[in-house]
Amino acid sequence: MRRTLSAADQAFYDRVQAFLQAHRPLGTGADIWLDPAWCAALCEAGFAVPDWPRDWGGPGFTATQKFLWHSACCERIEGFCESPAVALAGPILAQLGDAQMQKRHLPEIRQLRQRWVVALAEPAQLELNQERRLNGRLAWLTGVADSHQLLSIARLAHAQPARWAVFCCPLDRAGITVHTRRSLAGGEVFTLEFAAVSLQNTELVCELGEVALLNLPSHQLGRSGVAVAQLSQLDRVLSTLSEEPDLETKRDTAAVEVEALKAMEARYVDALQRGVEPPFPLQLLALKSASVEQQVGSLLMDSFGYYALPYPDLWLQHNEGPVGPAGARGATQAWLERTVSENYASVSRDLYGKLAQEQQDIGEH
Amino acid sequence: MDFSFTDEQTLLEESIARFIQNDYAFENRQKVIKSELGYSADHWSTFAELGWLGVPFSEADGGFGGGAVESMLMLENFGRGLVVEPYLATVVLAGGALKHGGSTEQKAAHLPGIVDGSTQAALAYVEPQGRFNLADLKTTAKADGDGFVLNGYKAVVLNGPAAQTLIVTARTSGEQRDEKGVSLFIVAADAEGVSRRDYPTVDGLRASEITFDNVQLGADALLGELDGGYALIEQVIDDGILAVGAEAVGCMEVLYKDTVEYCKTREQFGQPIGKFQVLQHRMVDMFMEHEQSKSLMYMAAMRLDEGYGPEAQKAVSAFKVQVGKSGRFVGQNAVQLHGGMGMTDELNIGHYFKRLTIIDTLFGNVDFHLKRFGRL
Repeated sequence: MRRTLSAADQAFYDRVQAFLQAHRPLGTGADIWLDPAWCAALCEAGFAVPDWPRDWGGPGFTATQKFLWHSACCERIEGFCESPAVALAGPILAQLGDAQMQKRHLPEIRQLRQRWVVALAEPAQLELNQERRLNGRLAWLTGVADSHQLLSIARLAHAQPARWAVFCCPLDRAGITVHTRRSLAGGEVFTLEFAAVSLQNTELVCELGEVALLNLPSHQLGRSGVAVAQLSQLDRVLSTLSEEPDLETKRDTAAVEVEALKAMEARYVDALQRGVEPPFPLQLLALKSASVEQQVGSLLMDSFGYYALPYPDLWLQHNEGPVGPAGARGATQAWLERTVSENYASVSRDLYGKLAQEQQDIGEH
Repeated sequence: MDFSFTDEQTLLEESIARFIQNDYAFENRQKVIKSELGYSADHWSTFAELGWLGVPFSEADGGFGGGAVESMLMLENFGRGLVVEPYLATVVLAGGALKHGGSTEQKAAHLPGIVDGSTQAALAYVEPQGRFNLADLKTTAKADGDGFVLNGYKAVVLNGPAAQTLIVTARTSGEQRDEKGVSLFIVAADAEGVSRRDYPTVDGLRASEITFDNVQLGADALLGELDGGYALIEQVIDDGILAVGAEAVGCMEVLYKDTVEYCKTREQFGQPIGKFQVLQHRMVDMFMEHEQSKSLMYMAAMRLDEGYGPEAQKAVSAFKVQVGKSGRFVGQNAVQLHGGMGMTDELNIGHYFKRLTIIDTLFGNVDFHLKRFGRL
């Protein structure tokens, strides 16, 4: 048993750290994919499509290297999330699309020039009829305002037993109406209404029966980086507070949870790297990482005390500067906004039912 | 990162697992713990014959040169079988003190007996007022000519009834709680002035309260540095934490697996109770707790094998915190999901739960190690 990285992996780790030290995206969360300088730097350094194998035109990183990249991004970039184009659309097209479709889209995705919305939830509400027209709606989407293409699933009308079509089309196609609502995390959530939207033959990726098992990159590995970053923020707050033994005990409790998550990730990655069966289902890491993020996020809010109260939107709207004395308890306005939002984002992931579903999956397993 | 085991480690693990599977039935264990000795002398001989008692000691000391990972593998399997033979007390604790602190002569005098199974030993370090503080000592060893005179009282000495050799912590200078001034001594259990009160523990082991009344010790009884024994006892206890923690991981594995099996077969309202989602979620949580503990166990073992220091101590404390929390959670839920049967003495479930509860207390509970983790 060896806890340390091999020389090759250590060199990769150093390369990743040097890259992230030198390049910092503008914005946080999904907004980082709108920063052309960041996207160009990723492409130039070979980190644009880190999970793609060589035969999709990716770098063919090992499981350990992918993990090192993702955990570093999660730790260093606020609210880091993958580009849906790279994480979902590309891999789906690479496995289900025809050569022409792959030629049309994969280079664009690989160069981070095309942004995609991937809508795989609630496909029953969208139907494709025999005239290749889409009717219905897709709900709970993010990133619609800034994306070019949509990849989704629609039920084939009149097909018995039920069959599904995977399709892609531009988001500005005639007949698609966008509705927006504010999310708990302060961002926007979209619903797309489809009224006889015409689909071309070249936009139909494939037809599916009930189950399709795809090799999609897993982004549960490396989420410990988020908790590590949160914990480090918490330590900065605690260092500015008068003695808070209760908070410190809670902090240490959370820190042990983070250590456990990191150790679980390391075991899982090691199994992937060695090509042996992982010690537990991947969903366990999804459950654990979400629960740890929520735990540390809540603790951050606790540590802010009264400074957790102001609502971020109002600060942005009036741009009145930091709340309270400058640097008081280390809580600057922007910093509060980011961390409070991150906490709400984490809670909202749970509200969407993802965790409950994952728990059920493991239970049945 | 590499979580794979060497061929030797795999062989060791398999041989213990086979022993537990074939020769350590729960019913026999129950008979053994009611015997006068409290453990099986035959099993102890088997441990010696198979070389298990020499695993942590260097080849120069007659052992096999194993480290923390080997200890972890052994104890995890012992946990699966709820082994009551005094491996922890004799090999890990007393043997560990000799291994880390003993002179060449002391090792030559005491380790061969431990390795060949002829010597039982115990570490006497707990005092009633000290709780988990290893430095809180009222027991004193005062210089007397070339040697020392030992006076004091030690509580809950595991394997005390069977031990022929005791490793005793005592204050040789400083105030009652000073880390400086702690020393360790090798004491024959039948020395004049040593008296014992023996009793069984709730988890099926044996322990003693031991009084030292003007026990005369030679200069060669001092183990390690005079006044500098705190670092030694801390290292020995950290080895012990890895050992009992690994045992707890083995216990938890049995509990969640047995619980899942039980829930697949026990029917209520016309279907197996495992079909109820609320119970499935509980079992997922048990599984999660076990996997978290196991992951931190690996990390602690690897850190200890890299070298003893603050990083290893921190990893050990994190592991102990996790084991304490997880052990209680898994134990309580296993009992609850088994319903009334989980409460009975005839089913193994409650016995695992008792052992897990005691492991939380051994060498410092969750709160104690949380503070230590934060401090390091």
